[in-house]
Amino acid sequence: MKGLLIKDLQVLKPNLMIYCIIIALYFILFMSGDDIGILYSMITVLSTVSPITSLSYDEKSKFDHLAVTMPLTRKEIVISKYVLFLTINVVSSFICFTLASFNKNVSFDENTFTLLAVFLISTIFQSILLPVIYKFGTEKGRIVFFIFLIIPIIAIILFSVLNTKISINTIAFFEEHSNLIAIGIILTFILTYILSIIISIKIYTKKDL
Amino acid sequence: MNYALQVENISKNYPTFSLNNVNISLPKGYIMGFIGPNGAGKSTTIGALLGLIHTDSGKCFIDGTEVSQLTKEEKSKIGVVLDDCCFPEVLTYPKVNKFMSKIYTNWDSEKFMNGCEKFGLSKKQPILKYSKGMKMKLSIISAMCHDAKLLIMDEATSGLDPIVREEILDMLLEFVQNEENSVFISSHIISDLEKICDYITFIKDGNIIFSAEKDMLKEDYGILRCSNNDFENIDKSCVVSYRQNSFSTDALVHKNMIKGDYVIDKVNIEDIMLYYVKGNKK
Repeated sequence: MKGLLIKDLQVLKPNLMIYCIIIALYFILFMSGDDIGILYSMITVLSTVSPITSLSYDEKSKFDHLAVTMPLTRKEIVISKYVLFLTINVVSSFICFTLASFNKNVSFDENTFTLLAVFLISTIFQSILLPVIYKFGTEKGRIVFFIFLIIPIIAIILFSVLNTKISINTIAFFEEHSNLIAIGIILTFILTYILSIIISIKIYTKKDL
Repeated sequence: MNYALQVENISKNYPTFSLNNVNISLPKGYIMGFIGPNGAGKSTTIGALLGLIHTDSGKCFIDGTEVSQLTKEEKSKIGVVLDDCCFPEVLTYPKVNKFMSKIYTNWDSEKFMNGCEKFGLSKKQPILKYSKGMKMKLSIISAMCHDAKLLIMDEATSGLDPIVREEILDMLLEFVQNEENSVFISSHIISDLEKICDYITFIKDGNIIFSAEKDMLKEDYGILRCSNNDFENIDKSCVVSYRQNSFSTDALVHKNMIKGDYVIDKVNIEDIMLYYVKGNKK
């Protein structure tokens, strides 16, 4: 698996360098204001673009045809991708968190909350995206990617419509049970990710290359 | 007899093509050429052999172990060259060396780097910039750098110039000097296979037409050249297929079965394939 991770990092290296430059530019923008969203949007971009980029390189070169004949199992090939993408998410989140803490206008709580929210949403999206790519290929994966881009817009529209209807009681309920809700969200995230790995392994094991 | 690979009754159905009860056996220490026209099922058979595709029925064995049951150690004894290079094209060969050395425990980095240098591959250019021949060389070098006992090659010599093809054929001949080593190679360039193969397997429309020792095939078959009238008198059970014009007939025949005084020329493997594919059936 180590070999596969090295290969993927080598393939993604030029892209990751570009992302570093973009993060640096966003950091400058962020420091001149206090919009934490600018910085954290990079996590979402990285977590969705990296799997599509990495898997489309493999698809183009037919690397999987060779990988299956190597001393690797199909299960390992799939798991190595999940390890890679989760690592990218964690590292990019850590970088964004560190950079965000330089801005004195952003409180520690706000920074932590944004980090967790963006990390969870991105990773859950990744767990939907990967089985789709394994089943239908990267081209269909791109369609899912665009759908994902539309979802937040719809969510914002819906929220603006429903905003006035959220009662004080609801907010109080969330505040009272915030720890339980946080644990619930984290558990959902872990289960979704594991379920996604299992589905991808099943798809990939049965797939004719 | 110990077999490097065995394919037993494999079948695979696609909407427009089927592989039907394919059987192949390659004894250890030999080279088998796998020939057939485009779309005959060569790559599908190799795909089944390498576990790339799941067959509807039948089993494939490598060194006596069913392909799906091969351990990592057993898999590392198989060198594979596919019709595409298969390495990510943005990488350079030193980078390929870096990750392959982590995948294969018995990877010989020095042999790989020297091989690439010897074949004139550019160290700095990404694979993307390589010609088809250079990509193929890279695949072949990589297949031979992890102490493989069996090489499975799909169209490995296509796209290469005659000099490099010759070098590769020499490499393969040297490889089978060790009696434990074997090669299964498919190619369109039948003259290459004729030079080095001990066995020839011919597939057409998903069916194996023959799988036999090359020398036996050359001994068995011949090209009968006669007039159309003479051809009428020939026992048709000896004739595989024929080509006819207004005056004469050339026919691929089982030469030892022909009775009478006829001109029968020696045959090469390409003739056999062409007559099977293009000739008129008896």
